[in-house]
Amino acid sequence: MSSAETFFNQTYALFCQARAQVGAVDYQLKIGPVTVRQSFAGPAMAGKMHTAIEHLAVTVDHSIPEDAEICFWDSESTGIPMPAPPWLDTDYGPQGEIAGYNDERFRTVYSLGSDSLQLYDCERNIGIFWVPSPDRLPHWEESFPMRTLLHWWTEGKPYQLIHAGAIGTGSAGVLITGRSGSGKSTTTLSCLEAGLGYAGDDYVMVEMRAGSVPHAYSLYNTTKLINDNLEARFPQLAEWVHNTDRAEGEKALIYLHRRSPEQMSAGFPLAAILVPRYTGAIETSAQLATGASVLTAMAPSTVFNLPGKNHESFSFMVELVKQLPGYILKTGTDLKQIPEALTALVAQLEAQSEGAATPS
Amino acid sequence: MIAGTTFTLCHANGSASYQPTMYYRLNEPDVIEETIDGEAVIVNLATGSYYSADKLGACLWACLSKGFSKDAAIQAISEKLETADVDAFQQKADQFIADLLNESVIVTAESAPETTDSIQVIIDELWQDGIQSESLVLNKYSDMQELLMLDPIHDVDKMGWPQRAPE
Repeated sequence: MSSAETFFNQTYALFCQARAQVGAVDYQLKIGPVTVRQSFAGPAMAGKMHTAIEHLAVTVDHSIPEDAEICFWDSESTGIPMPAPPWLDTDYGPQGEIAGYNDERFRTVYSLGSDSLQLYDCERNIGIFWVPSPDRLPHWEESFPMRTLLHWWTEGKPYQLIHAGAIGTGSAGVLITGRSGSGKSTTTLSCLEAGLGYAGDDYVMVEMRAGSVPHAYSLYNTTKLINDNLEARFPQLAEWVHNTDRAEGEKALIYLHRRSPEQMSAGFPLAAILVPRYTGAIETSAQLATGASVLTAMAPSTVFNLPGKNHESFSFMVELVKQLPGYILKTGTDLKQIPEALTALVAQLEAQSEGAATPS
Repeated sequence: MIAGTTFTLCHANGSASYQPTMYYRLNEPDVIEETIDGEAVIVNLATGSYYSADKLGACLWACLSKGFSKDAAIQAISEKLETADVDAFQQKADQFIADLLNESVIVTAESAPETTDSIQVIIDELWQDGIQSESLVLNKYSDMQELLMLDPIHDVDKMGWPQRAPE
């Protein structure tokens, strides 16, 4: 038995002990066609790791086959300690991957940014997320729980988590991608405020199969805004901020499904990929973008934020960029124009697609 | 002559000499890349940097990454440039390749990589009218480096688990 398998099995056994100690809290989630169970040892972690995804929760039905189970526990609230790591301090890679504990079947990463240990068994599709204490989790980790574990689940499947937001106009929608600070949140929130469908502003899951239009599925109902942007552009959201105790410089976290539940979209077929670029002018317009510029906006931030399967992720995004038209969304100061431009673009693309499909 | 090594006749300062023919390969598995719409997008997973190169940069990158020697690539591209621009291109090409090596995007290959591609076809597919040596630029982006633990030395708690420094 490999070191990775031994360590996984030992950690899973501790999780089960923790659940027996403090009780089980389970949720079942529908991420598009994918069913995932969140299994918690007690309520402490559930409060932090479920809210961002609870808009996708369904009534638990044990008769439904589940695609993955993600197990959450902490040592402080459960009283079940985690033994010292069996590897050396020098075994941590750049993305937290542990040397000697990642192989064809198992994934092992320690995220120094969130003080969390994350394990995955690709054969049984079981993930484990452990922290010493829920209080050590940074607020931003609550905004996209289990993203790395879901990312590992997608390996070898026609799905990919992408660092992007997604907005739907009814029958179709767009990905909104770019590095942090490029205007994804401003773009998606402007569209939310205009009544459009919101599937996320940080990560979504994209499905891509031969012969089908790529599809985006919502993962998280959250948005994160720097204080200046919140106060200047979206003051109406201030009363919904979750982390009122946030440190200076920390972004405001908002669970949007609590404020606008009817606008939370489970997903939609994709018509285009948009790369926002703030111009400082009043108007918003869309300009055709090169595939390379779209790939540059999407791929590095995705692969560097999500450890593992980097080559597969990159190839997925290359193919996605080749399949969908890309546009620079030149955003202006008149926020109402952003959803107007996006809606008009999707309508234009849908009309073109229908025209191409209709035999002359 | 060193067995397994090819040489190129080079002329400089009025004298001729044989220099080792330089071949390169992608620094796999750390580096991933794709050329789309005539522009190369390159990501170095180990360093957190990523790069783009279009026009002449994309041409030279395509030739080198597909296994053609530095001299063959420079020669083939030079033949398509305006005569007055060739010297400037050749100087810039040396710097472009040096940058790729310094960034650990490419490494020298131990031997000539096998390739069935035609260098002319590779260049023609990427060539644009009016291309000039000024376009031989490797654009580098480092904004993702903060996401990597490039120096993963850290504090540990009493159980031996890493912990973030206090905010």
